[in-house]
Amino acid sequence: MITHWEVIQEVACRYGSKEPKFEEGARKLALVKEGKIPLVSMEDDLTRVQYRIAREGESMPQALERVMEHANFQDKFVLDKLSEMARAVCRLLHKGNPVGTGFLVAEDILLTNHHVLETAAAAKDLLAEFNYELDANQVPKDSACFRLNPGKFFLTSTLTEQAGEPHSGLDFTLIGVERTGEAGENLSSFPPVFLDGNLGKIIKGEGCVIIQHPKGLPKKIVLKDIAFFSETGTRLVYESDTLPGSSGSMVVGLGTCEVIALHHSGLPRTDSQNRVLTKTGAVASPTTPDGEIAWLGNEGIKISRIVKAVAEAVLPPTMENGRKTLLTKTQAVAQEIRKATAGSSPSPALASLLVSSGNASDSSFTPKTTAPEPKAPTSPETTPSRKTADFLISALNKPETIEQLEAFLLQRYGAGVVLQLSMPASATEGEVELFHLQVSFQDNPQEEAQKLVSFPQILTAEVDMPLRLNADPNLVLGSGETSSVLESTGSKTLKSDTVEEADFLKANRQSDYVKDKTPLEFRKWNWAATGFDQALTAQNLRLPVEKGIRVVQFDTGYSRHRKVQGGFDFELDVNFVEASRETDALDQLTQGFGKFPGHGTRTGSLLIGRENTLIPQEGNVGLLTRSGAKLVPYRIADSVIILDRQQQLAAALDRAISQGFDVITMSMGLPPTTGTAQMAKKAYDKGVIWCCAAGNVVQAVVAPAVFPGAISVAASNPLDRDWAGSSRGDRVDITAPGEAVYVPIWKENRLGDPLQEAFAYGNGTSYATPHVAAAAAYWLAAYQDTLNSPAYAGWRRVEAFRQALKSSARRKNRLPRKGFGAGILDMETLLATQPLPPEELEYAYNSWNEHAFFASLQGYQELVKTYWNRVHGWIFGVRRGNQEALMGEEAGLSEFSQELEKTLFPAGFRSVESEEAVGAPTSLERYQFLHELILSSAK
Amino acid sequence: MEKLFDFHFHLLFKHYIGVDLQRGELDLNEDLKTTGVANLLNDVLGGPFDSQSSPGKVKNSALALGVTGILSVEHAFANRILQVAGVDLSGVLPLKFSIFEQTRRSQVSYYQEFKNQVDFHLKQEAELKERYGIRFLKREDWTGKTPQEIETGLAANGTKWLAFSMEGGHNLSDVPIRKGALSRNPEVQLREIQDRTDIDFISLNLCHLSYIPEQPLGGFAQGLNKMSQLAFHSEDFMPKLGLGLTELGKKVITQALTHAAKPILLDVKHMSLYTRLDFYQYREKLLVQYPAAERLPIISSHTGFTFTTVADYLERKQFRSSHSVVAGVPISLVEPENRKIGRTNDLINRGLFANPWTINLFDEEIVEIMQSGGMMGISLDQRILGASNPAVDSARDRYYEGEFVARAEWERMFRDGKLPGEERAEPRKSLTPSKQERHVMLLCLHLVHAARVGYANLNWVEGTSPWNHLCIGSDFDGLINPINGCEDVTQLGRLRGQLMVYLPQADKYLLPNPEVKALRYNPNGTVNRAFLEQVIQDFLFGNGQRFMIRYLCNWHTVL
Repeated sequence: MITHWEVIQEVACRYGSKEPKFEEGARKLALVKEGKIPLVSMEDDLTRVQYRIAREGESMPQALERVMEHANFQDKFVLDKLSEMARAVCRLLHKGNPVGTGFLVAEDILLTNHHVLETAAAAKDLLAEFNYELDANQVPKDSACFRLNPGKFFLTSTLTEQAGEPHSGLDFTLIGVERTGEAGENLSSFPPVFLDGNLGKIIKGEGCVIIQHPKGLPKKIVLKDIAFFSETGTRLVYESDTLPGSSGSMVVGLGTCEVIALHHSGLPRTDSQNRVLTKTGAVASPTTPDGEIAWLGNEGIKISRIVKAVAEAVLPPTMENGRKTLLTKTQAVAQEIRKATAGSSPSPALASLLVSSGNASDSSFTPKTTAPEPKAPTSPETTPSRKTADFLISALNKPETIEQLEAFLLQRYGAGVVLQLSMPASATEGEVELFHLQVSFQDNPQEEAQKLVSFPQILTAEVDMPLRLNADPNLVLGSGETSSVLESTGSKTLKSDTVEEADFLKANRQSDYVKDKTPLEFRKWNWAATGFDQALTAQNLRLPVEKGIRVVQFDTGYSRHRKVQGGFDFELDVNFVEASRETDALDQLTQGFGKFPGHGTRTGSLLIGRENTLIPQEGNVGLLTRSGAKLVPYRIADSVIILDRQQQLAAALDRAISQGFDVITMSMGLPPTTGTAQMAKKAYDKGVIWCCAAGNVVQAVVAPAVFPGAISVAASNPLDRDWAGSSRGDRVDITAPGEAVYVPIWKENRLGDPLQEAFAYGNGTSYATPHVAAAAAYWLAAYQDTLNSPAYAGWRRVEAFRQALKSSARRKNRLPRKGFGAGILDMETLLATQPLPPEELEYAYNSWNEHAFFASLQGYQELVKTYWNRVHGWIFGVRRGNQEALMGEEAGLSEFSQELEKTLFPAGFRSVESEEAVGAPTSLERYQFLHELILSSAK
Repeated sequence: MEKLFDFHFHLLFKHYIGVDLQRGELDLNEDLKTTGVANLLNDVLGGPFDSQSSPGKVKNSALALGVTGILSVEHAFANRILQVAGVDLSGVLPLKFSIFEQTRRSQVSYYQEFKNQVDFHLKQEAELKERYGIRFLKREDWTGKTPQEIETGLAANGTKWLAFSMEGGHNLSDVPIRKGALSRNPEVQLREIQDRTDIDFISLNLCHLSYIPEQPLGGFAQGLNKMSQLAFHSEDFMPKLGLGLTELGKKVITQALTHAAKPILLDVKHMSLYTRLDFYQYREKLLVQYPAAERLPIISSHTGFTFTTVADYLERKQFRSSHSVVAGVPISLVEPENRKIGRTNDLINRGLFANPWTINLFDEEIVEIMQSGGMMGISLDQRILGASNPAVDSARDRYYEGEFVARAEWERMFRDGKLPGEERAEPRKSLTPSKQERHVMLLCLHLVHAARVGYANLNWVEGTSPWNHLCIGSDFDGLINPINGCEDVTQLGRLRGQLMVYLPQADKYLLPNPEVKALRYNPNGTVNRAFLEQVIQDFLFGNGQRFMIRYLCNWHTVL
C-alpha cells in the first residue's frame, strides 16, 4: 500500500511550484470573509458561475443574490441532505484495520483513492464498513460490513501521472460492492450519492464539507468555516481539517449539496525544492507528525475528471451497466443545465461584476477580463465527435421488415444501433408501428431524419428532441410577455398570474355560479357549471370504482400536498422520467431553472382533491373523490416546461393500455408530430379515452388533442364565456371550466423557504381536461353493461363516448359560436345519454388523410418544432439578455429547413436563427401558419 | 381396486382439434393417432399428438377422479402448427384445419372458441356417461350433502368423476383474435361463466403458454419445451413484455375469488415468477376486503419444483443473464445453473437434476400453497420434472438451457446476472445409458422435496402433513412429453409400486434440506411401511378426493 508520506511527497512535488497561486487564492478568500470583496469575485471561470447560478433554479438577479449574499445562510434542508449523503460514506478495513474512507456512488459501486486500494487483487482483504458512527447518545450504531467485488466493477487511476495513460494520476479507484453484507445486511439501506460531472457545483469562496472517517474513527463531519479557494486542472483546493484515514472521503459543496471532489491529501507548504515544510519552517520527514506539518489546505480530485475518466475508460462489456449507472446523473444534469442556460449569454451585470473583480485581483494567473463565449456544457460522455441521436420512425411491424431495416441501419451507422418498438406491449404485428431508434453519428440529426425516410421501409422519421410543453401559463411565469404576444396577434388580453379571490369575485360578480354564493360554493363553481353537483347526487349513480373504471394521469407526478393526500394510487404509479425511480411518480418539486412543480397536483386535485383539509382557504373538491377512486399518476415530465423525449410519453401510453386503464387525462400539449399522431390513433384503436387539453395561448389546438382519436377539451370561465387563452378550432370536442378554477398550489417563498400549501384560482385548459376525464369515468360506469359488448371493442368505445359527450353538451352558453366543440360539458344530461348503437358510430379517422398528413409533416416538422419551442420558450420561459431562448441543444436549422423557411416566409424574411431574432409575435404567427398548413393536408 | 386422482389433464381436447384422416370426425372411442410422417414427427417431438387421456383410455385406467382442462387454441399454436419445422403439414397431421384457420384469421374470439369447446364437452356428456362411465362434477348437484355422503356418492358405480378447469386467461377475451382491439372486461366473461348452471369450474389459470396481446392479465413463464419450440416456433412463446399482474388481471382474480355462489380457484401454473409473487400479495390484500375468500386455497395443478428458494436464486445469482433486442422488442434470457438434486445408484448415469426454470415452484411458494390449504399436482411431463436429453441426462454443463423472461421482470430480478460466455463450459462427460426409472426417481425427488420444505417451514398438527398437499397433475394431452413408464393415463396404475421403491431412495439421496426427513423411520432405521403406504395412497388418490369433496362443499369444509 502507498504510505501517507508518499502521498504528501507526491503532492508536494507536483504542486510545490503552484504554491503562489494557492496562496493567492487563500488571501482572496480571507478578503471575501472580511467582506472586502464580493464572493463571486473569487471565481475566475465565468461558465462555472453561470452554471452554478443555473442550479439555483431562480431567475438571474435572485439567484445571483442568493449565491453571493446568502452564502452564510444555508437552508435547513442542507443538513437533512448532508445527513442522508453521509450514509453513503464508509470506512475501509484491511484485515480489520482502518485504511481509508470511501463512499457509494452507485447502488453497488464505491469510490475511494487509488492509494487506499491499488489493485483488484488487493480488494479481497478489504471490507467496506457502513454506518460506523455514533448515535445521539454517542453510542456506536450497528455497522454493516460488505465485501468488495472487483468482478462487478473496477476502474483505477494511479497516484502519479503515467505518460501515455489517459486519466492517470487521478488517484481514484471505483470498485463493486457485494449487495449482501457479512451478516446478511442489505446494501440498499445505504443510498448512494450519484456523481455529477458537470461544472458549477461550487464556485470559489463557497463552503464545502468533508464527510470522513479520520484515523478510522466513527464518521466525522467538519462544521468549521471551510471554503474552496483554488484549483488546478484536476484538483480542487480547500480549507478543512482532515487526518490520515480521510483519504477517499466525500467533499460536498454546501450551496448545491453535490459531491465536488474525492478527498485525496493535505496540501503541504514546500520549500524551493518542493520539500515538505513543518510549521517551524524545517524540512519534514516521514516521521514528522501530521500536526506539525505546515498545511496550506487540502486537495481533492475533481469529480468532473473522475466522471470523464469513467466515460472514456476501456471497460469489459460486463461493466457497461456499471458505467451507465455512474454516468446517469451527469447526463441528466447536463440536460437540465442546457435547458436552463439555453441560448443565454452571461448577463451583462454578471460580466461586469466579474470584470471588476478581475481588475481588482492581482494574481499570478490570468483572469479572464472579458466574458467568454458560453460553452455548451460538456458532459464527458458526449466529448467524442460522434453524438447519440434519438429518432422516432414508423415502419411496418413485421419481422421481415424489421430485419431489413436493421440490416440497413447497421450498414449506415455501424454497430451500436438500437431499434425498438416504442409501444411494444400494445403493438400489433403487421400494422404500422412507431419505433425508437438510437444511433451515434456526426451529422445534423434533422437532416438525417429527412434522409432516413428515403429508405423504403421507413415511412416517417423525426428527431426525438426535447419539446416544450404547452401547459397552463397561470401560476407559471411572465405575465407581461404573454399578454403582449396575444395582443399583438389580435387576441384578448390574458389574465395570466395568480388571481386573488377579490379579483375573482369582482370579475365574476355576474356569474350565476358566484353571485350570492358562499366561498365554499363559488370556489366549487366548476361543479355547478358542468352539472356535476346535480349528477353526482342521483340515486342510481354508478361509481367508476365499483365498475373497475380507472383514470390515469399523464403529468408531472404526485406531491404530498394535503389537498390530494390519499387520492393518488401509490401502487400503480410509474415514473417515466427518472429511470432509477421507476416505481415512484413523486413530483420532487425541484426548484430548478424553468421548473414549476406541482402541476400534477393541481390538475389531479380536480379529480381526487379532498373535501376537508386544514389548509386555510379550503375549497373545491375532486370530481371523483366521493366515489373513492384513486388517480394513477404517470410522471412523464419533470416540469410543465419540457418533455425530454416523446418516447417517454409513448412508454406511458403503452403501459396504460396494457394495464387496461380506461381513461387518460393529460393536461399538457405538444406540437403535432408523427409520434403524437400515432399515439393518439393507438389509444383510440385500443379503446382508451384520452382526454387532452386543447392548449393555451397559442390558439391553435395542440397535440395530441388535435388528432381525431383524442377527446379535445377547451376552457370556459365562470361567465360561461371562453377563456381568452384557450386554444380553439374544429378539433375541439367539448368545453369545460378552465379559467379561474380553484386549485391547490405550492407557494414559494423568496429565499427558498419550504414550500407552503395554499390555493389559487388557476387558468388553463389543463383544468378543463380533468372534468371530461371524470365525466368519461362516470359515463363508462353507467353504461358498462352495454359497452361490454364486443361490438364496442376498440375505437367504438371512445367514439360512443365522444358522441354522447357532444350530444349532451350544454349549448346554452356564451361561448363563441365556433371553435369550442359542442358546448359546455353537461354531466347530468351526459349520464342520461345512451351510447349510440355501434353501427351508427363512424371511425374518426375516416375523414383524416393520414398519408398526406405524414407526408406534409415529414417536410415541415423541423420548422414546426423549432417555432413551437421558440414560441413556448418565449411564453413560458424566461427572457435572458435580449435573446429569447431556443432549446440549447438545437444545432440550428438544417439547410433543408432554412430553404423551406425562406420559401414560406419570403416577405422581409428573417430567419428564426438570425442575429436580430424574429420577434415573438411573428414567431407565433408563423407557428400558427405552419400548424394550419400541416393539419389542412390531413383534411 | 386401485383408484387414482389426476389434477390436470385434457379429456377431449384432441377430439376437439383432431380428425380421423379417413373418415373426418373423430369418434369418442377413437384415439388421435398419427401415422406415417406424422407418427415420425410425433415420436421426435416426444409424443404430443397421440392421445394420452382420451375417454377410451380413461375408461381403461384407474382414474377415478380428476380435473380436465378446457382451453381454446392459442394463436401461437394455430399460426404454426401446420408448418412444423418450416414444412406444411396441414395434410399430414390429423387435425381439424378449420379450428386453426379461424384462429389464425381472427375470425373468432378466444371466448367464443372456449364456449364452443364447453358446448362440445356438454354435447358428449350423455355418451361419456353411458359408454365410458365418465361424469362431470357440478357443485350444485351436491349441495346439502355431507362430506361422507359425497365420498360415498363419488365412489358409487365405479363412475369416473371429472371437474373442469379453464386453462389460460386468454379464454376470456371477447374480441377477435389478434385484431388489435383489447378485451377490456375479461371479468364480465368470467362472471358469465360462473353464472352458468350447466357447467362448473374448479379453477382458472391466469396465463398459459403464449403471449396474448389482446388480453394482458399478467406475465407468463416460458414453458414450451425445446422440441415443441422447434415444432411451433413462434416468438409468442417467449415472454418479453409486462411486469406482474395488470389491472385487468386483478379484476379477473377478484371476480374469480369473490363470486358468491361459485368462486373459482386461481391456479398459479404458467404465471411468471414475478406474477406469482405479485399474485400472493394481491390475494392477501383481497382477503382483507373479502374475508370469505380466505377459504379458497391456492393451487398449482401440474407443476415441478426448482428445489431452491427465490431468495437464494436471486441473491446468490444462481443464473446468468443477457439481453438484446429482437424484431424491435427487448428480450432477456436467463440461464439458470443446473441444480443437482439427487442421485440414483446407477454408477454411470448418477446425477439427477431439477428443471430450474422459473415456471416451476420455488420453496417459498410450496409453503404459501400449503399454508392456504392448497394442492400441488406434480406434472408427469419429463421436462418439467428435470429430465433432459435422455442420453446424457446426468452430464450437465454449468448452466441449464436459457428461458426468456419479460424485460421489465428481468430488470427487476435478474439484471445483475452474469453475461453469457463468461465461463467456459465444463467438458462433457461420455454418454451413459438412461434408465426408465430415472424419471420416476425425479417424481419421487419432487414429492420428498415438497414434504421436506413443508416440514421445515410450517407447523403440522396431528392428522395433517405436507404430504396432504400433493397429487398427480399429469397434463396428459396437453402436448406434453410424458415421463418414461407413464406414457398415458392407463399406465398410471404402475406408479404405486414404483413409488414404494423410489420414495425411500429419494428421501435418502435428495440433496436439499438433508436434515429433514420426509418419511418416517422405525427405530431400527428401516422405513415405516404404514406411513409410506399412507402417503402414496394420499398422493395417488386420497388428497385429490378430499380436495374435490371440499370443492363440492364449495370450500366450506376443511378436511
